[in-house]
Amino acid sequence: MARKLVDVLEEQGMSLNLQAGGEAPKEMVDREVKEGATERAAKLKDIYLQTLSSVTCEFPYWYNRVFQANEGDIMEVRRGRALKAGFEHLTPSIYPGELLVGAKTQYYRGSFPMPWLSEGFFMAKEDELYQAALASGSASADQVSAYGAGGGNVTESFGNVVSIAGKYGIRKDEVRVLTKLAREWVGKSVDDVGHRYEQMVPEYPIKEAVMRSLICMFDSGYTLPQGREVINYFYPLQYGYDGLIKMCEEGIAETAGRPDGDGIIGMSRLYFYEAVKLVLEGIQTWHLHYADEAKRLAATEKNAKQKKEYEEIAEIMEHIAHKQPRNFREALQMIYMVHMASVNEDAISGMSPGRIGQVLWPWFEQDMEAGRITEAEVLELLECYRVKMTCIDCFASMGVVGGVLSGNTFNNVCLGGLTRDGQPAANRLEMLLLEAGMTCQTTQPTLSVLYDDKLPEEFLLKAVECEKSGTGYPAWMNNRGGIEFIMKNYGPEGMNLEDARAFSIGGCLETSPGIWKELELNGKKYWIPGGAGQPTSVGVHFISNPKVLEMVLTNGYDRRIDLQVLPPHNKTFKTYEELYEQFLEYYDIVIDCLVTTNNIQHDVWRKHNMSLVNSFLKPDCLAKGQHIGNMGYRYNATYNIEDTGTINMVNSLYNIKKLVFEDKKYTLEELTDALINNFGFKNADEIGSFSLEAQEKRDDDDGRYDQIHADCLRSFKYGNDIPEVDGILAEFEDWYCGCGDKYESLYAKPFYVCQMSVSTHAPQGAATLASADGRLSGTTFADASMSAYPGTDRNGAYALFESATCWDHSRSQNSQMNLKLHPNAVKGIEGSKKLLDLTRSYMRKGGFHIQFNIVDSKVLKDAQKHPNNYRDLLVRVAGFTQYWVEIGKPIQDEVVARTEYEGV
Amino acid sequence: MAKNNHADCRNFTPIDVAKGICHANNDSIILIDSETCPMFTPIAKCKCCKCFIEADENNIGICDGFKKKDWTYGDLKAVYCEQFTSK
Amino acid sequence: MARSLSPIGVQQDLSGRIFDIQSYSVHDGPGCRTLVFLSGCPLRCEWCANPEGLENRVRTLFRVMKCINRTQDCTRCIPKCPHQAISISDEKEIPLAIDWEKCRHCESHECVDACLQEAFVPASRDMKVSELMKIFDRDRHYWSGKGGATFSGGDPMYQKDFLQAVLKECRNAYIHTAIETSGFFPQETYLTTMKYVDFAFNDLKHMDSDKHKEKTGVPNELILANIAALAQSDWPGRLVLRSPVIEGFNDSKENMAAIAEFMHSVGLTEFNLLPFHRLGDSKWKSCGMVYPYSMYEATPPEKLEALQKVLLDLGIKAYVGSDTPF
Repeated sequence: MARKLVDVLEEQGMSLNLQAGGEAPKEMVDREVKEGATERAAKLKDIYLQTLSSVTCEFPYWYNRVFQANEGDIMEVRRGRALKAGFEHLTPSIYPGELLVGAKTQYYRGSFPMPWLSEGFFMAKEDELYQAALASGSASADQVSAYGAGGGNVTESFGNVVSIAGKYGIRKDEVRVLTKLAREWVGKSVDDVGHRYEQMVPEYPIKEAVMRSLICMFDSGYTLPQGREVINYFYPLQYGYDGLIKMCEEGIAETAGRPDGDGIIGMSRLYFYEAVKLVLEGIQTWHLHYADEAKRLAATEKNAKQKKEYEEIAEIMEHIAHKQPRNFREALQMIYMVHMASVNEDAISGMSPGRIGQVLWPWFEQDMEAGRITEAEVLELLECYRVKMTCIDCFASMGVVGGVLSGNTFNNVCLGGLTRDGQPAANRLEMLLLEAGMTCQTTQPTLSVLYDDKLPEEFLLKAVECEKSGTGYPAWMNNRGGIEFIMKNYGPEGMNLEDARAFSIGGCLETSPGIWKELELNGKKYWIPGGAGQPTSVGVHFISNPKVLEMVLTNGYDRRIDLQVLPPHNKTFKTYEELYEQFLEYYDIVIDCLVTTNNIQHDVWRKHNMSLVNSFLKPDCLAKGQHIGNMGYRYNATYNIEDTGTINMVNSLYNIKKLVFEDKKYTLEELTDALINNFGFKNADEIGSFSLEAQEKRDDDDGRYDQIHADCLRSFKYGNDIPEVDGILAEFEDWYCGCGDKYESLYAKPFYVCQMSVSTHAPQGAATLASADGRLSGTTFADASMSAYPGTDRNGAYALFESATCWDHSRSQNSQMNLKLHPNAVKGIEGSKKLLDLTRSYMRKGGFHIQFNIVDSKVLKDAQKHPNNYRDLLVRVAGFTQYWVEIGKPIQDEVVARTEYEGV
Repeated sequence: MAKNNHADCRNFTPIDVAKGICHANNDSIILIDSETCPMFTPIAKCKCCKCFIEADENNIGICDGFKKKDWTYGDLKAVYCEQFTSK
Repeated sequence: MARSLSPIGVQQDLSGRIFDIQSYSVHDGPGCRTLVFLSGCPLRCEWCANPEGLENRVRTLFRVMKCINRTQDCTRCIPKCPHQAISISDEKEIPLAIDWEKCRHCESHECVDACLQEAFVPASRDMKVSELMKIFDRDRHYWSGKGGATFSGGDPMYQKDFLQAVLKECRNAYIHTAIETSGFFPQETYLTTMKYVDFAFNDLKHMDSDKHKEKTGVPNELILANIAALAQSDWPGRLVLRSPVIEGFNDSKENMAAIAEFMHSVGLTEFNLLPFHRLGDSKWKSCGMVYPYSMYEATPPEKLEALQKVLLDLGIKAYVGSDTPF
């Protein structure tokens, strides 16, 4: 008899308490709407809640073997064969009760390393490969990043399970396989080849120092080279895989040996079609293996109902391996498998399904009209889909997965928006997607509403009701603002108003271009939206604005790591304007070195590791015969510059301006001295808490910085509708939103800016000295980009909104506002209407994004103390919803500290 | 050779690195490393294949089943390997 | 910055004393609102949740939690006080002893500047009508169609001239106004003010005048007369009576029945029962006063439901807490 799982895991120090949630203590206020999934989905979700994040080498073994065996072949084809082998050898797992099947690996929540991208970061800390990664600055973020200590994270090794980087578990026997695989890519991975060439950039030494100082969070070209984009399911949904293979065969016949006027890449079309054909065959076989497995299980299944379900699965998988889906369930199964295929070809976070309520509408409508399906059945399927999507894991370094993503994979589903002809696009299926988000509360897919004044009130109130259940989704995005940004940014590539309306959110809040495609089902035609652009949030990852300002004050020298990071300016600033000028000058130096070096990394990626799966999905690759690297996608100006800590920078600049240059209360030297000495406080990591209020004085402090610290804290702050402070933000935004035009991506397109923190405000805060706003060394920055620093917004939400909208958000890919509301503030139907009023008013004012955490802070504090009682507690962080226990301590502290709008 | 565990059994569907579902025992959830039962039926893995040779102490050996020989590891599932031949 | 449409300058730019402004107020009238708290109140309810607003003067609050005297031996404020009102305390929980009688007459508040921890803060500030209108002008964008400004306190009518001036400006600017009042004012003040109000909450804490006086310091005849006069006038606004439910004071069925009877007699139909909560506790301490209700528990939901049922059975539209149709 097998022992009880819980007992065994508890002996190994891994509590997986099944009675999650528990009874909330009396004085804490619960969220209003409670979940209640179907029995089937609830069971599958329960399995997820007990599942460890698991790694297997099956896919990478076959990829590696076949890639190596085809040495000498054309790169596209070589990669096509390797991917095909990976898919064809994945062992399928089907779990009892599943309606939708398939996964990235044989595990329920599995992932695998891709050493061909980067091979050093997942090795043991003492391994020379890891040490090498550290030396080049590509693993700097790992040292200040943290995973959550609970949930499915394998934080420590136990029994035959080895923990990798405190998150992933791998079977002990496979550790050597992992090492062996990694060593085969030394000097050949995108990381290594890119590194070889990036060093030829004259400004490389600055870039390396910038990475080590954590002015920038991480490299782009080999970490998460795809994602933060919207997938496109049109081609398989319309033509089926047989149809796509036929297209490739026709493409080969038409283009083999014929450049057709393009002397540079015209001949590449042959290789592209051949490579895609290979991948398509691999994907077909992978589907058929699930059909086989279902039949195998059916053969021995005694329970008649379960047996029938296995047989249905077999029939569905066999059909969609070849042809256009015939009904809603098949269509949902197909887009789910397409999604898995996509996220298995590369290290990807934020591959967003997009507006699937509109994509799947044709099947939903025809099934409902024909009486083939009921809404209850659709809801059950959507719940199963939520569990499946939540099982997606992404294998990347600790700095990336822990420090930036908090373990989230950002599969964003968008609702609402407008149709091609400008009508409200919300539909009944989207109402059910919201319902499933409430009945089956999970992290994926996260939901976003593309808010438009034209959307029906019933739909918006349903979205509010979902929000109130405390899941943190949907987030609210400004549809008109998004359209304006898309028109401006992609106009030069031919974007028109109709297609701008097809935009959607990739990743947490990256506005991404889309197009409409006309889908035909049983003779009826529908326009469906889908992604049409390259990955976004590629290029320059997260510049720490307060850290750049710190460099201005320290003459370019980083005291944390004792390194001259930026060239010394050797200036004495006579005016605030001179200081601000230097800040921008440093900023430009930072962007410039990151642009050129990351361009090289991405160039190596497109030559050695180009997308094939997403390249056959995204328009217009199949038509043009070109993959992403040859600009087969419709829109290519997607590279951006991200920043973090804007609000701490704004408040700091204001204080410098006011206290040093206007009031002359302190000299710049006095202020800098106070910052270097952390105002007499200990560093945050000594305390083990990363919020300001928990910090402690140094034992030897004599109080000499008390006055200056108090002046820094008591001054005016962003978020209170104070023109003097907000003016600094407006001035910065005016410069920042235009700064991308000066730089060119590898696709010879200008950059634009992206403003959201994800989780970087914790690790990058950890690497930054005290700042002139009174923030202490090592503590977390303000979250998002438009949220006030915790506790400093003292004049209510309207004043905060007024501050936030002092600039034109449509000049940026996004902006981000997180608001924490006490459940009492939104009680009842009147509360729902008022929450909608609040949201609507911010959108009308031009805010791009707002999301709410509707939770009693007392609950969060209790969850920090008793994590075992809160296995399925969800919170909204910054652009994503995550299980509380899977979030690192610094971000937990920050969420607790956020100003809570009570309305008692 | 190491003792068989549940992950070596055809009746077992893995959930994660520690546990999975046993179809021979009413689909109950069991730990990979707990005792196997009399229903144990080996699943195709490299270690059960004729092509798997020269295995070292870490169970890493050579696969000579394909045109180009390469290393492989005993625990690799071979259910869908076109060259798998049971020992 | 958006251009303002309001006339330059206001008719009567009076100054008023305000101890808080809350935006996105959702429980104080229809829609989303901006809530302004005016200092001064004719009543002295023992359970008051806003004791810092009882008197119409700028009083200093001492927030014990912020004081670092005990942890870091800070005494910065003590020598700065010109009235020698601050000294080290022997009490366990309060680091500094404040002589609040001396503080009463202080207008300079040196302690506020001296304290780097913001343990001393002024409870209120003076604002002009024009300043307040500027805030409404900003906030009205964020209100819903039915939202607006709500005046609370204290009792806003305590500063009737200022209040009436603001209300007039609001009317000119098409801003919906609500008021939360005790109704304990001369009838002329009461009715004149109400002329400019669209929505009124009038407290009715007990029907028995003696009992009313016992716990609030004033009898209720004037209040009842004002409510009756307003209800029977041609005032077009909406009048909702409300009361906190205070254990052992007004939480009897008899009191509810008397309220219902009174309401029927003057033609009113809406009553809002508010649960008692202890949130005022720390504020009483900050004001240097003893909170008589610090040991009382929040009103249990069953109690509220029972009282609501009494009122409903008697034909009164009784709402509990924030569960209102507005």
